[in-house]
Amino acid sequence: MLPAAVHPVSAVISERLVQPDSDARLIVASRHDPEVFAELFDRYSAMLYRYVAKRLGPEVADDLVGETFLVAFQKRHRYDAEHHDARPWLFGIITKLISRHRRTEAARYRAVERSPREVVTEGPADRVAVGVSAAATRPALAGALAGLSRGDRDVLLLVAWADLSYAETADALGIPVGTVRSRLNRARRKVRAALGDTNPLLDEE
Amino acid sequence: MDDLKMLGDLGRHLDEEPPAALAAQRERLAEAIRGGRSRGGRRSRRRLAWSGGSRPILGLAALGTAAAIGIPVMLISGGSGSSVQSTATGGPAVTVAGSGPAIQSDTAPRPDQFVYVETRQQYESCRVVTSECRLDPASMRRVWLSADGTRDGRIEQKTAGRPMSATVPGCRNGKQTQLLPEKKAAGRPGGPMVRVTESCTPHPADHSGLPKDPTGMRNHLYDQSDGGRSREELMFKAVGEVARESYVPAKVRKALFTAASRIPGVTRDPKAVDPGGRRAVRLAFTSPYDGVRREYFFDPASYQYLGTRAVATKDVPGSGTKKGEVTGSAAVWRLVVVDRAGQLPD
Repeated sequence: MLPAAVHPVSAVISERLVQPDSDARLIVASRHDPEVFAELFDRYSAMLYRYVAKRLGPEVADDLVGETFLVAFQKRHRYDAEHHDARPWLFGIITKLISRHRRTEAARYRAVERSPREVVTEGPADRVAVGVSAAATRPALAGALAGLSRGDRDVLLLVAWADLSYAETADALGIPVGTVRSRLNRARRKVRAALGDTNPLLDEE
Repeated sequence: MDDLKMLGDLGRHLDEEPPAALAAQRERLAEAIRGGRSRGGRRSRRRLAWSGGSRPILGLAALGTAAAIGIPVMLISGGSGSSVQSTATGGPAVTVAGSGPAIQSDTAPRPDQFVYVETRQQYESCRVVTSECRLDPASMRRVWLSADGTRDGRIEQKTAGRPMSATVPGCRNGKQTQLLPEKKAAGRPGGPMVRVTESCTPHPADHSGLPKDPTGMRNHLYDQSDGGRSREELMFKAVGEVARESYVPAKVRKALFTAASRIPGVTRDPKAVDPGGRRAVRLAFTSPYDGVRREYFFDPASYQYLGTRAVATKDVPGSGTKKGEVTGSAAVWRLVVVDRAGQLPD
């Protein structure tokens, strides 16, 4: 079972203890007290899982999340404590691990590309706002993703799916912010080109 | 509609809920952590005892518990404070017999003072190895938190039946310094310590500076709710962060209560009883993620935060936690401004 579910109350009661701490403090503390590191798992495993599952599917995601934290744990001594938020670091690690599964990723997008065009949007209201046209463009979009270079795709998806800022994406990938911008521009151009063929609404930008 | 929005839609389309199996990955990490330290057969009973309430221990450690020192006397007012009883809402609650509550919610602390909060709490501790969970006996948690966040505060509580204490380092000029045990094994009094200085931002226990209107407060909660779970769930957690163990003036309390009630998914029960047996308004939110219903209790007239409770709304496989079980509760019993960390009010 999920530890998060197993410790619900302790979580409630001791939040005061845990929450005000930045990730950096946690990681620094874990150098003396390794057990503390598990808290980082509780904070970010679900977020990382969702990101990898989008790119590689649930089968691989589970294992990669575990591996990410093992790598992170081993590297904790090298973590720069000036970075309060550990997400860029963790996403950087997981991006490297994802790169070993390029074929799985391409196959996943190709599967969406080949899927029948959906016309019904299901689920929560916020999805409805995106509308039917969004569902209809998924195949083209997935095809475009599959066709991007690895570097461009990493940047695009860290921004679009992991919600990292440009600076955080730069940190995660160990590249300058300027490179993030140029890769993102290129990736978005290609994506728009792929979408432009299927949906005239997209030209407005 | 732009391409990033479309991409967001594709992301939601490809989204997967994290499975319970992530627990296996957490255990993998826990194994690596243990492996890094244990030698041969020494991996030991102590681990079991410690892993009891792993969350609080982690929490304390994260704050830099100097050592798990013994607290000689736990202050239990009325002498019956640690017994357990059932309430109308079911499940164990914290009995707060004895002296009446003393929540001085309208005395603002000076920046150099401390907010002292006494909370009777009872929570479940789980063993990492066997995954069994059970409620610890009710106990008392006492905190002294710096009003402006620049002075060293203190936390004392029992975790899995063991007294723990921790210094909450004050943040001065963007730096905080604390003594940490050099090794985990040295987490006993007298072990080698190392002084660690880090950058920080102060966490004032005086929340007078927070927004006094619901919209401003809603935005504050929103800003605090970035993370792996839904925005609503994390906003509701952030409500607890504002309310708990802090001085919150009347206008901010009202704004907090209103903003919290408006979070989508939050339910409100005006005729609830808090874990301390007091009449209260209850706000609750059930996590779609783990099925835990988190409840906060507020005084119906003053909106003073009174306590919290967590209830499992579904069985938690492997842990022995059943649907409907109260897995923990806490009741604020005293909230007073004092001059020094460690000072008990009269």
